[in-house]
Amino acid sequence: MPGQPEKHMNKPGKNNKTRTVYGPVATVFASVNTGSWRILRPGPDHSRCAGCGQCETFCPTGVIEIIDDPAKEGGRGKVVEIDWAYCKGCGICADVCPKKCIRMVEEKKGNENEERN
Amino acid sequence: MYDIKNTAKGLVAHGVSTCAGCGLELIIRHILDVLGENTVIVIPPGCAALFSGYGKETALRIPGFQGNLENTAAIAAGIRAGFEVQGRHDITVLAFAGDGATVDIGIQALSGMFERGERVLYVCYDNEAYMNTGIQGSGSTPFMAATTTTPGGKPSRRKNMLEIAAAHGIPYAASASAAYIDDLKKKVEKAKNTDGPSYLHIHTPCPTGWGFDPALSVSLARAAVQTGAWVLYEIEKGKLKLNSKTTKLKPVSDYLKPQGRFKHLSDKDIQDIQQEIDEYIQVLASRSENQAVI
Repeated sequence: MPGQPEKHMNKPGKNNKTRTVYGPVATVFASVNTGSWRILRPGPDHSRCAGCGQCETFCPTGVIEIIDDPAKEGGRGKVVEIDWAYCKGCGICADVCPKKCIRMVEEKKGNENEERN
Repeated sequence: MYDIKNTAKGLVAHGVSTCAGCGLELIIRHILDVLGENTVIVIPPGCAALFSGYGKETALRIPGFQGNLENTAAIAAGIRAGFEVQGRHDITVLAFAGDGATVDIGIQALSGMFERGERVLYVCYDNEAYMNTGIQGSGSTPFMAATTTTPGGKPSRRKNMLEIAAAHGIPYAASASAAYIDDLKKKVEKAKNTDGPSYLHIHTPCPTGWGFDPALSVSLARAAVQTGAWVLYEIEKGKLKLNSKTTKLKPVSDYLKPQGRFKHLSDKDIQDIQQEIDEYIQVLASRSENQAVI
């Protein structure tokens, strides 16, 4: 790939920080739509979630986030948010949850606990 | 500089085509969280090559190079030498290889790197066989585990790669597990700040190769530590420090029973494995200078 490193390294732009790119490395950061693999999907029971973050820590795809829910426990409550574009439905989150409040539900039926599809 | 097609929380893309429940995918996220973007990664062919990507696409936001199976450590040492000439002592060079590329094919380059004392962080993710090419047995496959090349169970013992690495007298060598992320992160931080070669050997369950439900990945890795089938310890300048318990261990069948690769084991085989584990734990405990914490 002659010419490729120079082309990418000398490109002017606002994000042109001093970074460490040398040689003919891959330069396109892309993701595969692994959400299409899912057979089962995690259905968190938000009312019982304590926001401990075990599912967030152990999710191999890193798609789980614990976010604040203003509607729960006077603004101090936490809920689980999952990025459905990449969740592979492996079920680790349901297995490691100490309160066992994540249940794996069939993908076709959708998730009654989750508003977003 | 990088053409970012999809956003990601950390330095690793979310949509990577590793199997569902992959232990490797879990640890690479946490390792790169600790190391930060001032890192150059070297990945040999294997499951981790999925993170190198295909063609000009990559799943990592840090520069990387995909080398050959034999010379991961040599490439990493070369990159380090180049950075030293430029005075970039701040950059971490990370070699990220599987068990086949470490204990079998890449061991000569790795041994040379340890001997020369290159400042490289070498991570071996151990899924206990050549998973990417179709579950062939490797030097790290445990005794009696079934693979496609050892369908009746591997007749020989596994190599103790961590002891081999530590025998080179390197400043830091440690074992870690995908189920103990805090312990893993601490060890990566320590290895990053080591002035010299450091070696991490990480147990990463593979649902496809070991034959278990992907949901059990983390609990199986935890069971391995709780039964003593995998021991967490670190060797710092020749001193061994245990990080996992060596007393009141669970029976090893808790770890073996859920796995398809061990389903042919008879009660006597399990007894033999249990006895071997007990003996090895005794050896480690007698060498250790502390009481375990986890």
